[in-house]
Amino acid sequence: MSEHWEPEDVALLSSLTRILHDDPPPRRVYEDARTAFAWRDLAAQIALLEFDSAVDDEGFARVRAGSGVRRLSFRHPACRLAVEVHRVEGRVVGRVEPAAHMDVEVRHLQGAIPAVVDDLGFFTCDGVPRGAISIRCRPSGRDPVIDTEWVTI
Amino acid sequence: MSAETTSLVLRAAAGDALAWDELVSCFGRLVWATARAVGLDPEDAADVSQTTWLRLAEHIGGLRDPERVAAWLVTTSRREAIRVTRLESRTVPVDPWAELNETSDEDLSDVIERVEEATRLHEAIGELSGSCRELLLALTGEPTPAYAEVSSRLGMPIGSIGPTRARCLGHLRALLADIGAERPVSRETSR
Repeated sequence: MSEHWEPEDVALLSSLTRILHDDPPPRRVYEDARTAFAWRDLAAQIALLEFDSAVDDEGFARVRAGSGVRRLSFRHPACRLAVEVHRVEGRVVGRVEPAAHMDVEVRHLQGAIPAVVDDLGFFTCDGVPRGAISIRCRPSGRDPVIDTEWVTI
Repeated sequence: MSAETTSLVLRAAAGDALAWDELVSCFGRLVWATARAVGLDPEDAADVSQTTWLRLAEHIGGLRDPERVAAWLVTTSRREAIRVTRLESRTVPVDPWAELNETSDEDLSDVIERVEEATRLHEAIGELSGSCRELLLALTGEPTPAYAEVSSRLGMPIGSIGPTRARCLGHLRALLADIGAERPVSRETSR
């Protein structure tokens, strides 16, 4: 075909070709993103991630092999939460302070797994699926629920 | 568009699930592509995307600058993706630690630019007229189709394909210019 092509047309059509053959997100990505809205809880307060061994601990990041355990801690004025994530086993082990009368559950996109908290504040949660999780601490009485920021495990 | 984005954010923050769905439709690809651009495999990118949207749901009422929600999403998705590249038992690039140290701001802004380009193109294609879209999609097939084939598929004389293509690309370019002017995502994120 010996017709005339403007160089800018060639460039635009080739970007278009590249983008269209680029990988689009699977349908599940959109579905999960829509579902995320249902997890919004206006009454809950948020405990911010203050330490993540994956990025804040140089030794962890450099070695990476090690125990395969990732340590995270979250902070809120009324509560401190430190957890270890054993991803392969799907286990989250942690400690919440203050320990008294605190219920803990690990939330994930499909539901929530309650954990038993002992009198020192330790808890273990099994069967945690891979993906996004947030830990909810529910004090007894009228104090507000505290949720950690969501993290990918 | 930025006024529209702001209104979607404010409506979603007030509890409007339809506005939220609209945000997901506008920016779902951007969030995903950002995680992919960091080097995650599709499964990890899906997880990071999930986390990013959950974070937005959590923070949407307190965004300082609602019209820059796309930049917020890109930043959050990229940070979360970088965390995930450092987790031992997940699929990681050859040496993410070295790679991340070598990633300069310029590399990062290249990545962001590519992701944005893809997003803008998708959006612009979405706004093209149906016949232009069909023609351009037909022309971008792989391998590049012969005009005779395009002609019989679209019922368009071979002689009009060239001029129509040029006109449609012109429309696309105009749409891109509009979108680019209305949503300059990279200003904050590439800093």
